[in-house]
Amino acid sequence: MSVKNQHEIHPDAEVLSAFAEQVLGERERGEVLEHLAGCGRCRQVVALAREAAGAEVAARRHAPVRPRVWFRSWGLALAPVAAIAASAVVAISVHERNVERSAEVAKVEQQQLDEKAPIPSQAAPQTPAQAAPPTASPAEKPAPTERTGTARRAPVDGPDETAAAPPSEAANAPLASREELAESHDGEAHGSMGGGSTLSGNSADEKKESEVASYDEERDKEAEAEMETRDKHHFAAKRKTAPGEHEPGGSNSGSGAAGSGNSGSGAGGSSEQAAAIDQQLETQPAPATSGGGLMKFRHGAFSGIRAPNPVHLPSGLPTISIAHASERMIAIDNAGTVFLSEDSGATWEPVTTQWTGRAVLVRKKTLPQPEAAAPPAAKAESPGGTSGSGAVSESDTVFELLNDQGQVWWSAEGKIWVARRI
Amino acid sequence: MAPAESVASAAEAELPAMQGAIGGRLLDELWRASDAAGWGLERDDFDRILLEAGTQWNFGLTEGAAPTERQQAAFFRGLCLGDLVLARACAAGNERAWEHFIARCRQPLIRAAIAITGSETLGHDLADQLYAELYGLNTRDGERRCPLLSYRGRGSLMGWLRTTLAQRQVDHYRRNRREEPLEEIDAAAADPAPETPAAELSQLDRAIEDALRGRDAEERYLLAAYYLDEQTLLQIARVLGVHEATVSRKLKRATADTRKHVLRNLERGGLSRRAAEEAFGADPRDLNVNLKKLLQHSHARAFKEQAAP
Repeated sequence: MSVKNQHEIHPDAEVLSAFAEQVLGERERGEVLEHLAGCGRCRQVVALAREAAGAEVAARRHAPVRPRVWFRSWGLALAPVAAIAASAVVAISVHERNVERSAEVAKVEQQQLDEKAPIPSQAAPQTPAQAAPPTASPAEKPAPTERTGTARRAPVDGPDETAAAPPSEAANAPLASREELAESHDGEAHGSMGGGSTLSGNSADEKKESEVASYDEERDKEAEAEMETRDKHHFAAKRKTAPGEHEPGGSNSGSGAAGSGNSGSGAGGSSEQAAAIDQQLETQPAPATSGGGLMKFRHGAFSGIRAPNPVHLPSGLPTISIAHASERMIAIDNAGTVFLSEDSGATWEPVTTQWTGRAVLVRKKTLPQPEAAAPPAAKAESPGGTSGSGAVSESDTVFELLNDQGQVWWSAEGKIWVARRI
Repeated sequence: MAPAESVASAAEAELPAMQGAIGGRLLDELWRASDAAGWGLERDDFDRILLEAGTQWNFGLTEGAAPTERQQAAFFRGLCLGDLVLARACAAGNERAWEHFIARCRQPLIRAAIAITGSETLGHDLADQLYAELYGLNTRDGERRCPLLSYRGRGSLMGWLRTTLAQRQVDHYRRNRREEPLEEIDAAAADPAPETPAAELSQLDRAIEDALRGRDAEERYLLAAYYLDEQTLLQIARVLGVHEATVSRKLKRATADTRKHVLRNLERGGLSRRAAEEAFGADPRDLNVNLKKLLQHSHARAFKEQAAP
């Protein structure tokens, strides 16, 4: 059979292709099928064409389309997985931030605890003075005792030293300390531990919540308060140098109701307030040596109020704490070196280290009468101390030095330091 | 382009009569849908191509039937108009159409040829040969002959190309099969004397012929493809577009029916039931039955009207 004859009797390629692609009508399909039933050649043609089509489909499926198929098939599954992963990452980051913040707060608490540890021991010798007729200076009350957990706005109805908080209450120190910081720099005389202990008895949850949730806000408030306080301190420091400030029977001879401007005997509220400011100025707090971001911030905040007047120490380092009594000044630079000046800061000389650790804070401490708790050195150095009942004189004043471990040393003249045992 | 013109002139006589029968709105719709203008075809050429396809197949109807407008529309919408326009644009020598054709069909054509021949070398040869013909390198009577002109849009262009490749491969194989050496073919042993009586064998021949002639086209195709061509169920299923389980079921039924029919014919010829069943044990080589001829009895009738002039 010739090729021409084959073409005459075989359906052409288009019909066979249409038959294989199922696009023919019933009648045409039946005709083609009739032909295929008896034509081996066309059956082979159709079978080979279908095999080639199948190979083409397989080639498309396997070679170039594979990546798309992979992405398509996994794309829908990856979407929720990605969403879950993103949620997990966010949750983990939030959790870590909270944990970090909690750890930071815990560090601050610990730091505050360390700082406050000596103070309760300080309260012990002063307890008799509490029972005695009021002899404590109103100027003593605000700053040092507030650090033991005094809450702000608490009425001042007792000596500072009674504010020695139990260790469990000391856990409230950070918040109270921050609040105290903002409040104390406002120049107000703060209350004692009576009210403070009540407020500091808040539950740990409240404390955490208030500390963590309002952490950022408080930082801003603290910064603003620090700036305002510094300005006020400048103003108060100028007033402090006014005559009659240290006159006996004046502002320093108030009755025992210290801190309340109205209760001083023969002393106006303004003078007592000035004395409180004076106390604050003379006993600048020491920056913490650790404590994370919060402590860094606090260190920065303190650095602005280290001293109302610039003090140039021989070391050339910035001063972190300074206290003075009359012409005598004691300062600590940020290397922990202690300097003494006998001429109101005109000249400085380093003090031989007689303490352990690193000195971080120096402040003036006025001792009440009787002087049972006064250190021997202080007694020796101040033989002519004021003996008036309830009166506080210059001889009753000692310098108190704290190291970075919360230990305390006392000195009357700044050269010889005696450890204050708890 | 000359090939297009020749085809157009061949159907020129029939077109005017049909042109009025096809709705202008339908042609407009098809013109827009085919994007023929994008391939540089004129509207008149496009209408002529459609009319040519319609008359070639009588719109999918039996010969002599008058198509309605709906039947015309259904027929035209069943065409692969995009492929048809592309093929005609390539045949007309449109460079952009050729570039598109090459980008779209060149690699699939080679892959199809490789799959058909089962050899990469033969596949490339086969594809290149067809590609050269498609490009119009062959001439007849001084005119370039492009096989793409014979494509009229029934089925996809790629399917048409694959089937054309398969046709060429099968024709080449059938031509060259007789040229294969016989050295490796063992000489057939002498046929032993048939154990079945000759009378029963002749009766069996007639019964089988009668049974196969009674099968319809699909059953005969199944029997031929499975038993003669030894195609697999999957191959047959792909051709018919059904599941291979369906092919298996139909094949089993066709075999059982054919057997019943043969038995019945044998019984009608005077054999007992037992003798008729024993007749099935006869050696097939003793039978004088040409199954090919039996299964081919109708193909000339079905496609004689499609013979080329």
